[in-house]
Amino acid sequence: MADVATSAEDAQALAARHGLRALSERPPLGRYLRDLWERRSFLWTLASAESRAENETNRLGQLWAVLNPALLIGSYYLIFGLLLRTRGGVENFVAFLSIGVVMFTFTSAAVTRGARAILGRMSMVRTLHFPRAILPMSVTLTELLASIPGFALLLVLMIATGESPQLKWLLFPVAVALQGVTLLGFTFITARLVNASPDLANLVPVIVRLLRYISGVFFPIAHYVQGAPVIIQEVLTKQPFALMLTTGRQALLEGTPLALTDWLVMTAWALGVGGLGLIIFWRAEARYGLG
Amino acid sequence: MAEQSERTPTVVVHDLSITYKVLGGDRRGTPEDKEGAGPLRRLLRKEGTERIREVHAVKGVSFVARHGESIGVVGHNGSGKSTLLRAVAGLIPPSKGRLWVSGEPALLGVNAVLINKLSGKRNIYVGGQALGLSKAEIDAKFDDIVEFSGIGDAVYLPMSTYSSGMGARLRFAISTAATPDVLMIDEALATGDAAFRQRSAKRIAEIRRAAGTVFLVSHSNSTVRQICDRVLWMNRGRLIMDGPTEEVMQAYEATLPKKPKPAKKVPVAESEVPGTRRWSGENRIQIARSAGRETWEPGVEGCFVVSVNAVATARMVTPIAARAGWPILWMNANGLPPSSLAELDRLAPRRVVVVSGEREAPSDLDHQIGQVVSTTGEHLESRDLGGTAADLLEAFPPADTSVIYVTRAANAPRETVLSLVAARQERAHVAIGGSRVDARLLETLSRLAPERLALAGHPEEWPASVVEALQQSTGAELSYLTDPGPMALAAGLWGDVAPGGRVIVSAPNVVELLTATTVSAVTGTPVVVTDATLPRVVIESLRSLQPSEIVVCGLVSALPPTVRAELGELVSRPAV
Repeated sequence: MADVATSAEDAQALAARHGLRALSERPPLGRYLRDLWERRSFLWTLASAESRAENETNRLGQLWAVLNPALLIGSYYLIFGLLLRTRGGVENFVAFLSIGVVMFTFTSAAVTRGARAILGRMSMVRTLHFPRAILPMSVTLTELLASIPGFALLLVLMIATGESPQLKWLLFPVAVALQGVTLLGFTFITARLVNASPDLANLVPVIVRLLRYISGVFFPIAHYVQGAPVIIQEVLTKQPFALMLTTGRQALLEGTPLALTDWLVMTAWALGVGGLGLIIFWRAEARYGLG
Repeated sequence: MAEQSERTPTVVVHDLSITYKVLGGDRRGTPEDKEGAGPLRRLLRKEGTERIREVHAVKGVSFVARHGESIGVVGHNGSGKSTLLRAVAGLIPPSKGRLWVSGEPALLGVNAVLINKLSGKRNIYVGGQALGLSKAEIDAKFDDIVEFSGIGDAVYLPMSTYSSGMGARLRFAISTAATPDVLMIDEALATGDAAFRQRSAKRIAEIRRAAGTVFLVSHSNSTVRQICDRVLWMNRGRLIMDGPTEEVMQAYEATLPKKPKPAKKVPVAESEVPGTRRWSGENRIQIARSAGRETWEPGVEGCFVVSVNAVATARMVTPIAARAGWPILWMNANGLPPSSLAELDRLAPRRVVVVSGEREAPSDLDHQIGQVVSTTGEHLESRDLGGTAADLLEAFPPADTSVIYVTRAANAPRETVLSLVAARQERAHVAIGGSRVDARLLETLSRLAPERLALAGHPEEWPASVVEALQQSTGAELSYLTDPGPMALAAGLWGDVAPGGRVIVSAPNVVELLTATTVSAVTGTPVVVTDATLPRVVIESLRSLQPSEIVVCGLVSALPPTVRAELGELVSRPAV
């Protein structure tokens, strides 16, 4: 009378015949991507809700999204522009610095919060099924949305510091998109690592700080590595965190001409890190949420 | 299987096993294991530090559920019912075996993700979409959800301003907005006031009609009979029977202990079992007295007086009493009953600390105490649970502040066992009622600077306001003690106790277990907790303790003579 499938093969065949879904097992990559696509509106709802939540507790609300980068630019200008004089031959240093600060704020927020994308949403992972990649994606998207007022501020600052609008400004969103996809790739990887070993989350602030100083946020990296061996020059200027700032600057600054190789290398970084990150993340799909 | 195959399967489970790895429990090696362990193996096993122990909650379960079936899951406490349900809902990954489901299985009341910083309205969208509804579907159901939850205009306020009841109702309303193919109902998760319960029962009935397959875990056999046409009977993690409701229920009920009839109080004549004895008493306070009489000599430094009705307070006092080596004397609503008065007289303590906690102290109490001993009772100042918790922590800070156990005021075996755990580890146990945490308690907790607060239960059982308050004021890491069950938790405490001594086997009832805890602290006797089913984890732990004598701490109705007889089998006879 008991209703059971007698062997593992029977059970699997029965499930397959009626289109049942295997629980707690990793779906094939193709289906995983399809699931992700189907859940895109959930991704959007989650990301926009969270970016709103970040500012909702402040009285000045969304205004902080502009005030914060403005204050940051001001204080860095004081230190690096006036006190330390790290201009390194840059004509429009304020504009140069602003692009670096605003874009790197996106980098640092995405990397910092992305590392805890799974760990910080454990109760959600343990109560619902959805492709877990939604979580790192939502964090990156949230931080992108949170950066938009900062990007708008950049355009204002460009004009205020004497840059004139040009056609190549249209490439700036492309630079941000490449940055976003690359960051997402790193977020996939760190989210998996930190989920496997939460202690690693403590290293993230250190890494972000290191990146802040070696990626040319405050000074042109190329200017300071002149005379170093070529290999070191190449590594320091072409590593993704530096290059994403360089392409952003090329799009906005008159004095920095577009360099095709930089854009091609950055595109390669975005596709490579983004794709690799997704695969690395997907491989552990069934393990997220295990205690 | 042939006669049913015309109906579409919705859940296929094959050889499902679930093993929890429990950190912190002590691993029990078999004797040959210990002898054979070389230095390297011992090193790898991290002898002497916290170890990982496995608890087998579900073992080799297979079944197929089909469209249109209502399936009851029955079994004693700790038989693996709820774990099985959570696994089918996809909330716990299986350690072995496979399972397939149709659609998005939903465990009622839990499956709604909520973000506290956001308004109820936004949470309805996030939660609904997480459950697989489209935006348009949520638009259409939005008013229904708000009306059903009864939170009104508060839906536009952040969830962090909600009371725990409002949060729970909204969660329930969201999770029932989608009609799943497979619906699981665990009655233990039911929340809310009477009116809401009624509304939710109606809603559950509606969903039940619409859903493909319903699983129900209920402790009410009549509910199972009413709703289910098929029953799975779980016992100690195994599926021992699967069939039509009446057939299985009759077999299951035959194993249940007969309910004691309160009308006729005939003392049960219990036959002696060699190697075992029972602390005698017709009620729980008398049992406590029997236990106290053989444990404490007259002239103790102090004792606590706690009401049997203030269980949350009693749970907090017990680890303190255990550390001080003081007994607890139990009172009821009328004051100290004769057995406690006699014990107070015999002990003649120098200090009598009355902790009335959330209850009013009986008016006559001081007079009663004054008649028997020369001191007067010392009372803690606070008259509510939060204040009492703060008073106790201040007056009797724990020896080990690295971890503090935190429970809800409501009582269950798990909460009581945590007092035993706290006592054993010289840590504090704090009970929190309602959805607000007393400000002074928060201050005291932050002063103790615990590294971790261990909260009893699943995250969804805790009001967000409480969790946030605890986190913000202490900055401690929060963890949730979900598994194993209370009996396994207690069984895991005695790994470093040398085998061969006396062992107390206590019922999970508050007064009995807390009394056993204080006795254990003074005499070093391990306490194993069990109900009448004697689960395997209990038997295993008794086997490795190899007791020379077992003392039963519990009423005959809680631990009947049959249990005592089984325990007798576990007493190790001296080698000939």
